[in-house]
Amino acid sequence: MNQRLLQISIGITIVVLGGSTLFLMAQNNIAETIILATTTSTENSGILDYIHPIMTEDTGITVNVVAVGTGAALENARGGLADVVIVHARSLEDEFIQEGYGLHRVDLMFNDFIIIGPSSDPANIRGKSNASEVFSLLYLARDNITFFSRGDNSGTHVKELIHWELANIEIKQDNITWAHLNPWYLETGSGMGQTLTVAWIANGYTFSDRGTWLFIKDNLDNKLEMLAEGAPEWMNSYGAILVNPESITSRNINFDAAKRYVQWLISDKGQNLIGNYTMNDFQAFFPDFRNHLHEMSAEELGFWGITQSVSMYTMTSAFKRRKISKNGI
Amino acid sequence: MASDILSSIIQAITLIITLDPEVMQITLLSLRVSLIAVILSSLIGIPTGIYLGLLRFRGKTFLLTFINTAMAFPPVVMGLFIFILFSEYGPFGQVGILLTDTVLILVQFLLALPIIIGLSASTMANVDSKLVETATTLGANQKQRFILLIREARIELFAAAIAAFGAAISEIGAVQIVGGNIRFKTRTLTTAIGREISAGRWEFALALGFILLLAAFLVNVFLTYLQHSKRIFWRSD
Repeated sequence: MNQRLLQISIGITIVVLGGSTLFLMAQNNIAETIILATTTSTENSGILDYIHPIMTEDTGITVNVVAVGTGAALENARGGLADVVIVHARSLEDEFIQEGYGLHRVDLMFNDFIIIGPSSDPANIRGKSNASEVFSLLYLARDNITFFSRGDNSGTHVKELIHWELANIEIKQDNITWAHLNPWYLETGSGMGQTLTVAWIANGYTFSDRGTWLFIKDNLDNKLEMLAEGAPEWMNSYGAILVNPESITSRNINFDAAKRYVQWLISDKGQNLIGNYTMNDFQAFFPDFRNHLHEMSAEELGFWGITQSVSMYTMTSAFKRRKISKNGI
Repeated sequence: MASDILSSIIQAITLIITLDPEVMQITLLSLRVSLIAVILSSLIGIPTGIYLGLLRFRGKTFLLTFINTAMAFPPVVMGLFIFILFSEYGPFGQVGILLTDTVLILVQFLLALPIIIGLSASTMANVDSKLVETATTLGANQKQRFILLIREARIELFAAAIAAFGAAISEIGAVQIVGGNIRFKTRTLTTAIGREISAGRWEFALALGFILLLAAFLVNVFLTYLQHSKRIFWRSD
C-alpha cells in the first residue's frame, strides 16, 4: 500500500516537473527575447530601465541586457552571445562591421566625456574646454598629480588614449619601464565606477563619461569635482549595430526582433524618450539618429523603413546640452 | 572552443618562456602577497587552532561555530569592510594603505586566518585519544604528550596552511576592491584575469589562468614536500 503511494507520488512529481519544464520552454519560444550587449555606462545610467518597459509594451520584445566594456561587448557578440550591440568606440565598431559581424549601424544617441579631478585642482584645468590644452596641463603637472586611466579597452579608454596622442603626449602604458618612470599615470583595468572610486581614494584625475559621473558623484563626497567639460572632441557617440546572423553558427541570432528593437529606438518616440531621461535632474543622453540622416544611403534608409520626407532633425539637442551643463554640476 | 584552450596554453607557455615582464611582475606580486599573508596567518592561526582544539572551556562550541562561519566569510564583504574602515570616512582613514600591496596582504591574511584556525582546531580534536592515553601510561610528561600530538597532526596542520594559500591566491573580489587592480602596482593574477575578460580578451585571460594554476601548483609541490619531510621539524629521538 505504502509502496503504491510512493509510486503515485513519484509519478505525479515527474508529470508536474516535466509539464512545467515543457511549458517554460514553450514560453521561451513564444516570447520574443533578444540579448543586448552594451557598456556599463549605458547600464549604470539607468536609461535602459527607463525605456525598455515602454518598448516592450509597444513591440512585445523582451531584452536581456549584458553590460560590459565596449571591447568585451563586441567580443561577446563575435561569440554569438548577442543579437544587437549598443557601444561607444567608433574604431572598434568599424572593425566589428568590417569583419562581417555587424550590420546596419545607426547613430543612436550621445552624451559627453568630462574630466574629473580633486577640488584643489593642482593641474589648473578648471573651466578649460580645449581638449589638447587640458591634457597638456595634466601632463605638465605630472609631478603633483595622479591620473587614473580605465586601461580596460573600453570606449572611454580608447577615447582617452586618443586625446593624449592629440596633445602630442606619449603614453606608453604597455611598457613596464615607462610605467615605472611615470608613476603619475595609473591604469585600473576596471569599469568607470570603480575607476572613479579609485580616483576618489587617491585624490586623482580621471576621464569619465558624464552618465557614470552623475550616477556615482553623490557617493564621492565633495573631494572630486567635474573640472573640465564641453570640448567638441569629448562628444561620446553611442551606435547600435545588428549582429549578422550569417557570421554566427553557435546560436540562432534573432535578427528580426533585433531590427524591430533598433527601429523602435530610432523612431520619434524612442528618440524623444532618450532625450527625456534625466539623472539627478540632468539630461543623461541626447538623441542622435536624425543628426546623421543625411549621411545615410538610400539602401540604409530603406532597410529601416524611413522615408526621405521626414523633416531633418535640428541640432537643438547639442545646444540644450550646453545650456544644461552651464547650469552647473 | 577546444582550439581556444589549446592556443591559450601555447600563449601561456610563450609568456613564461619569454619571461614577459608584465606577467612576471604580476605573478611575483601575487605569490609574494599570498605567501606573506599565509605565513603570517599560520604563525598566529596554527597555535591558536591547536589550543582551541585541545583546551576545554565554556563557550568553546560557540567560538568554533563562529570561526567555522568565518571560514566561509564572503571575500567581497571582507574587501568592503576593509575598504570602509580604511577609506576617508573610516576610523583608519589616516593610515592610507588602500591601493597598496600592504592592504592586499592584510585582506588575504584576514581571509586565511579563520581557515587556518578552524582546520587546525578540528585536526587537534580528531587526534586519536588512545594515543595520548598510551603515552601517559608509558610515563610521558605533559610536554612530551603535547609534542606527540603535534607530530601526529602535523600533516593536517600543514594542509590547513595549503588550503588557506589556495583560498588566498585565487581570491579576486576583495583584492579588486581594496587594491583597485592598478597596473604594475596592485594587479594580481586574478584581477588581471578579470581585466582581460572585461576587455574581451578571453584567450589571454585563460593563458593567465594557466599561469595562476602553474604558480599555485609549484607552491603546493614545495609545501607538500615540507609537509611530508620529517627531518625539518624534529630529530627522531
